Amino acid sequence: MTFRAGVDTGGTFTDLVAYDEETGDFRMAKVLSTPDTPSRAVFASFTKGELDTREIAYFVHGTTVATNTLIEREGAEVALLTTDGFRDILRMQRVTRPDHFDLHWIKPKHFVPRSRCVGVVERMLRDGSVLTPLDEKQLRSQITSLRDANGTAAIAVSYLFSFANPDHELRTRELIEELWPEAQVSLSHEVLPRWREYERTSTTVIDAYLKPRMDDYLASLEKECSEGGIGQLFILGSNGGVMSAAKARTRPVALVRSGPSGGVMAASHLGKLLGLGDLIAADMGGTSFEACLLPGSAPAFTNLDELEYGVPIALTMVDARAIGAGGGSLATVDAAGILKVGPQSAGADPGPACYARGGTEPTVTDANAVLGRLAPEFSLAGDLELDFPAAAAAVDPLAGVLGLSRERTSQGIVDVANNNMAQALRLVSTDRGHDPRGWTLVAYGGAGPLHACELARALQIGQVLVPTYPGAFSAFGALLSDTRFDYTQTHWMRMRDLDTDKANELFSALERQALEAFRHEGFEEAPQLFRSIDMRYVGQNWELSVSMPAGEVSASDFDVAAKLFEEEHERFYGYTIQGEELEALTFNVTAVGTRHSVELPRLESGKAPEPLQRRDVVFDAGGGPVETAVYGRDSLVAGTEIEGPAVVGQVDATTLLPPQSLARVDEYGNLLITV
Amino acid sequence: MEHTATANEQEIKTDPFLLEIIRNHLITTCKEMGIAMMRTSYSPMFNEALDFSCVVFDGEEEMVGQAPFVPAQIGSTVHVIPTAIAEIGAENLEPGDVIFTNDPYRSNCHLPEFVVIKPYFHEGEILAYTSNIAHMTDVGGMVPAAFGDHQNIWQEGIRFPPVKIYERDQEVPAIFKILVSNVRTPRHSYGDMKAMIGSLYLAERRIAELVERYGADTFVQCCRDIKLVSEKLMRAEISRWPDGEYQADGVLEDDGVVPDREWKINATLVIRGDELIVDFTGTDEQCFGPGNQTFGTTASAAYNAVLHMVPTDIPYNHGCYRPISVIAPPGSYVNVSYPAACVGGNSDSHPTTVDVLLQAFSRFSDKSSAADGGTCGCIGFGGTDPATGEIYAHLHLEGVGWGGRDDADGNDCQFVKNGNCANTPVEVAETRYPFLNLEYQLEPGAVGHGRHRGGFGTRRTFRFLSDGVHVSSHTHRHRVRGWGLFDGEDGSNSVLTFRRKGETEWVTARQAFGKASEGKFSNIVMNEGDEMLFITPSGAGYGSTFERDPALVLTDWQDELISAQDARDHYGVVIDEPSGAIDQAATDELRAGSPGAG
Repeated sequence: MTFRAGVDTGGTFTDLVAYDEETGDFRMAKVLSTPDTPSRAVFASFTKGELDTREIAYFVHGTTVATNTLIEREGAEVALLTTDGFRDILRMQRVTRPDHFDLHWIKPKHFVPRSRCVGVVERMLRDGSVLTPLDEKQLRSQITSLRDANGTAAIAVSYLFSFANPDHELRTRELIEELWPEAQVSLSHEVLPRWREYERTSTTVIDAYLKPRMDDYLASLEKECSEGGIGQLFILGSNGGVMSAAKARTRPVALVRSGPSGGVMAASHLGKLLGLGDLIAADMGGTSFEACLLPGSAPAFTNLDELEYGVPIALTMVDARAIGAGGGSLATVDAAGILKVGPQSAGADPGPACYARGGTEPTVTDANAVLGRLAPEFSLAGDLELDFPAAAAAVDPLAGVLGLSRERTSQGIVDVANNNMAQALRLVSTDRGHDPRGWTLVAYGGAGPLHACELARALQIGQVLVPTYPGAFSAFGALLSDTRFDYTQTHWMRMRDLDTDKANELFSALERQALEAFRHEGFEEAPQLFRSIDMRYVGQNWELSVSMPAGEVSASDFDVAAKLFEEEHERFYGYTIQGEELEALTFNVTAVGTRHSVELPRLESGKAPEPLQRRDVVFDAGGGPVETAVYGRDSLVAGTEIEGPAVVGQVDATTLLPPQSLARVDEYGNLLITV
Repeated sequence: MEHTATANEQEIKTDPFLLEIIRNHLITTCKEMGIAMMRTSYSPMFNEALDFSCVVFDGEEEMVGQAPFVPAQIGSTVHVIPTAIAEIGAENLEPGDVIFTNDPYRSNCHLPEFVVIKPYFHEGEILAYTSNIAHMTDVGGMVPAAFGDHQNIWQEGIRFPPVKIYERDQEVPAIFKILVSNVRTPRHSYGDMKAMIGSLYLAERRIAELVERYGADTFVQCCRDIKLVSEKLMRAEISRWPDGEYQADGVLEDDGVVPDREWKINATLVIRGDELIVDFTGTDEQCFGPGNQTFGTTASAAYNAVLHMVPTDIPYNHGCYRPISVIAPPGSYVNVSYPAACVGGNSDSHPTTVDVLLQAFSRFSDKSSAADGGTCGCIGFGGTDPATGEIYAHLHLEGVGWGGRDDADGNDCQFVKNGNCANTPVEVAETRYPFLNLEYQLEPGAVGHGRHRGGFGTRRTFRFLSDGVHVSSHTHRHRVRGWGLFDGEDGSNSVLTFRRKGETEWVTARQAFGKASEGKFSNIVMNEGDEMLFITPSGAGYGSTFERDPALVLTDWQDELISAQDARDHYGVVIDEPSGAIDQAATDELRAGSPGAG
């Protein structure tokens, strides 16, 4: 029982990274995912990694089951209880549309039909006082009707201002438990005690929608793990923290971004270990590109993301933003002769033309193939033969339309794809108030290392890090992640009416919840607690988070917070308003507990390897192909330096070093590239 | 006459990859301005409702970048930005200057739209302008939050001709002082102006990055080509439409001043080859109230309707507007002359103008849509908050049902076509202002039925928590209904009524407060415990009700949106209520007749 294992289930592959705490031995394995029964691939990865499950003391699982359940709309039949008079909140949404001139847009449906949205007589006010008491008699008959109508499996309860006074939601759960104990229940003030009723209701409904299915999945996984002799099972949450499977079953909406958070946490770990400072984590796979900023190597978090337009999830999540740009993104020419790349994708099936699985449309991967940038000889045990003539045949019609050479067209496809990713990153940066020049780009995912250097140049970023196993980085991150829970409570407090007693009461209550949760997770030691408050100028509507000290807080602590706020405001938005009053909106506590530390294996230094071969690669279509050295990643030793142009191939990814770039292998085997 | 090359003869000189890269960069720049604006502004109008638009113009004073903001504002920038620059004189601009105007008679939409414009200089030459146009909640004048039954511009509020509000990166204090001295919420106005101007600086940095990377000549050429591409695509679309003249008209129900007098908007689409003329000749003279449209509003409404009829993948920029000419007779309802009022032209006349044009399009195209709810639901609240002692002004906006279309029902509860504003969350509004929302939900039953029915409007009941809340309104479709297309039924009406504390009956502003109109009035005073009900109109129907798929009728019944009686009366679909199934035989029998016959 000395192994710790991280397994990330993705759309195409399931990856394992395991670590022997005694010997420091690392294992890695990659198997095809089994979407019908995801756990089959999990156990297959143990087998392929030659890992006896009885050796696994600690297993962290990053899962896309929650995400896929939402995308495929295969969750439970949910009923929604709202304050009477507000039953249509899911259908009304926020009243906006994504494209301002589209006469044919259809507003996305949320997860509950109107017939199962039920108004309950009750009403709280902004200060938590009761305007209308809960009509228990009517509620009983409403619950009974839902129960007797059959079909409903879960109930979301979201009343106005429940974050200010949860009594009615709590009483509603008691009545449901009494009348209908089988129903799964999600209460909005527990899922998200924050204001903005649509966002809170949407998040609560999604939690209920996922509950029965995630409960089944995780219960059976727990059983399989226990039968296999695995010590403890943990699940990686959207906030980059791990939680017990039992906890995950009670709050499945917290798993929706489980997949992306693994890679981000791994980037954070490497950034801190190597002292890299500010990072951008960039994950490019077959169909999507996701990026997250990590100022000071600490991940940026968000509390608002959308499943699709108008369907928000408002929990604390690693702020990884996705755009439809991947190796499989399709290139097209529009009516005006302008080249577009994505968001349509050839997906995994048929995939790019060069995969010879029936695809004929040109993709980014095909363009890379034409340019000679892929190194197929290293791919998954050599089982993927690239069909170069098919790639050329896919690109040629586009080249014909544009009146340009095949190579120039292919280079254009790659440039436009890189630019799309760069634009997405700019939006993320602006939203966070950062200028990414001078940061380090951490590139992973199957296609990340191929595009990283050119993407970095498009963003005027000087340094790229390609980790040792870029294709299994998310599993690596799952292995490294701490236990983390976020607690939040909206309470409106103007600084001129500062009530430190209330502030202390709010922080204490949140911290009590945190300590309780950590005890449940089996921690003997108390977690580290981090406090913050969301502040703004009186009258503004969006807040900035600033940290607060531990212990009893006093008025002077709020003065310090106000100073921090002004600094943040200046940094984010470039101005402050002197003498303006501030208000606090939301009180937050984040609790973090570390179970283990990981010692990464080191690479021996030695003689620099020779290239395995040389081949022609196009970097500048105007200048023609350039003879380029091809290295195997396995052959690199600590201290190896490789000058671009070069291609470094490995099982799970190809790293492209364009001319004038310089890669250096560090003591852990990472490639640090100066672009 | 000298021959100038037509768009189709001109060639795109920029490499197609670079064109896509720079075009995307400009769009992203506009989005970035929007993010900064949303995060830093003060008014819920910006940070919740998102009632602002960010654009980039090139050195030729033409739009090269925009993002999905507010259609009415975007269309008017095409006119107000060059007008404002011309008045100051581009030669009088220096780096760090910012122009400001809100003057409706200089092609702006109405007084509350504040426009700021910043030139971007490169080696002494202006290569671009960044601009932000945003709806300020309060602009002084006779009602809080700007919307009421004004009869002239002085009642509407403070008016700024184009002036410099920044000179060489420094605030011009006089302008700010005059502004904040003439509005009800000076702190908001100051904070919002700073947020607007902050977004211009951000955008300018992004454009500088482009120019540094690709060079000024490439940037300038690329801007030209970006416009040319859109112009070519637009002309290609117009060419596909059959040449001819297509007329339609519709009315605004009243102007808030003269009771029961309707005001007609008449439009003719003239299609000749790849050119389109939108001719409003035949429209009534300007009205006495604030429903008049400025030329900027009218041109914007014309662009808005046309862009709804073309594919959404045409990049939106100045090139889209080049093939479109707008004729709007001066002094008419669609081209207001000084000093007539016009604040409501941009909110409630614009949607009717768009609906009239969509009706004209339906003369030759089935891709048009039935009328939507046709009102922004602008209701202003103002007073002093008893909890804080602060003066407030809040503009309430509301979604409406959209019209049925060839491929689907209209969406429920969506902001009307001239805007794209979000609703303010109940929990946000109640935390800020002294009134409650007792209900906010769809209004079932009332809808324009059709093969594809309209979307549903909403109902909201307010209860006031303090005395002396001044309520003003500029809302529409209380009497006139949005029109159906191709035998679809007309949409439902707005309802705006009041109930004094302790009373049981709901009464309109006209019945109880001596106003000329149910929907357009100023300063009704509500006190603690009084209530107000606002129901927004549905969309109208598209196609005959008897052609509606009975399964969709059944779903609406299951969703409790229509009654079994509605299903039978409007759709000829008989639902057996106990079993919840369609009675096919009875349905067939009914549907053998014609709609409305039973």
